[in-house]
Amino acid sequence: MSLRRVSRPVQLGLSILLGYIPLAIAFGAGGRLAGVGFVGLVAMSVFVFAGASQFLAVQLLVTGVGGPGIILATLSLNLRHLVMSFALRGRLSRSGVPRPILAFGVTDEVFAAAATAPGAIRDRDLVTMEILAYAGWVGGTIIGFLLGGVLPAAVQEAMAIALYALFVALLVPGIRRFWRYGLAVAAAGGLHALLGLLPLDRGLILPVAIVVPALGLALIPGFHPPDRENE
Amino acid sequence: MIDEGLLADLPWIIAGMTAVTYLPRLLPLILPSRRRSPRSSAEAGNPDGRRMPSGGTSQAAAYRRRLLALLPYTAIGALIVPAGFTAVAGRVPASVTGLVVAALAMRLTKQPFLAVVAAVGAVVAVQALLPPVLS
Repeated sequence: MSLRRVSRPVQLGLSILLGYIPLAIAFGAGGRLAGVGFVGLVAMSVFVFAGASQFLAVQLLVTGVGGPGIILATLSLNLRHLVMSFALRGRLSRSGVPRPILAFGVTDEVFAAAATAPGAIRDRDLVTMEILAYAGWVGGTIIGFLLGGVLPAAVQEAMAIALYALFVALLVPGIRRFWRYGLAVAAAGGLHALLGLLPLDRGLILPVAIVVPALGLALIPGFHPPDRENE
Repeated sequence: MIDEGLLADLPWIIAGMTAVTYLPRLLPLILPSRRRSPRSSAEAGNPDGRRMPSGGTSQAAAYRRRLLALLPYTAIGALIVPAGFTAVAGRVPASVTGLVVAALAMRLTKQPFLAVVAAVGAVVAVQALLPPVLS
């Protein structure tokens, strides 16, 4: 079957899955080495479903940080999802999938894939991407725990580019439609890089780098997205 | 290795992590949006609740539209920079090659999955062809 006949949500979901698997394998293998059991690691992936937070949690457990510290660190790292869900809420079409279910899978990658598409976001498209992403994350964790570093190191290193490549691929159509989006990308990236040089909480600088440039650039009346995106 | 006492707390830690991960994703999607009632609009001299001669409400709506359209792009920008430039084991040339190939492949094929596969392939090729110091 031609790839062109595969729906865009499935393609995007598979891209996310491809990017998640090596990360999740690393999480499963690393967590096992750190001494977390199979049930604990898989439960973390099944219930938390937040890659960076899970890596951080294992690291903090190893260094002896207790539950409250880990939960606070997770909260600060995940505050950016407030912004992402807020950006999605006005564009979700109303239909069968309850929003509490949709909310569970709003990761960075799913948000980026859904929100850069023009027009309304169909909830079944969103849930398709979420299911594939979730399968990649949970499946990769299990593989990582059971088989350790199953992928050759060179391939695993190369696959680390997958999620960033997906982000770049998602930017291309939007910037071609409206080149000023490129300024927004550069402003946010530049601000994030600058803030990263300061001794600030990493969990807080990401939401700031996302929100502040958007708030500022949206003040410019000429920063109008194409009409079809306003629908 | 992790302290046994901490491992015993793991179920509670996972429950807490689940809550503080899920709530920021959930709340904006389920909280009711603030809408201007007809009465308050009329009191504000804006009977139709949408457009005012001075452009007050329509300006706010236009600002909100621009903001919501920009947020995905600022989010991706902040997620890519600077981490994407060192994604491949801290190697800048290999990482940048992957990102450039992804952009070119997306431009040519318009298929995100192909762009991702092409980027991974390019990184494998760079790592194989260049010595580790250069890649």
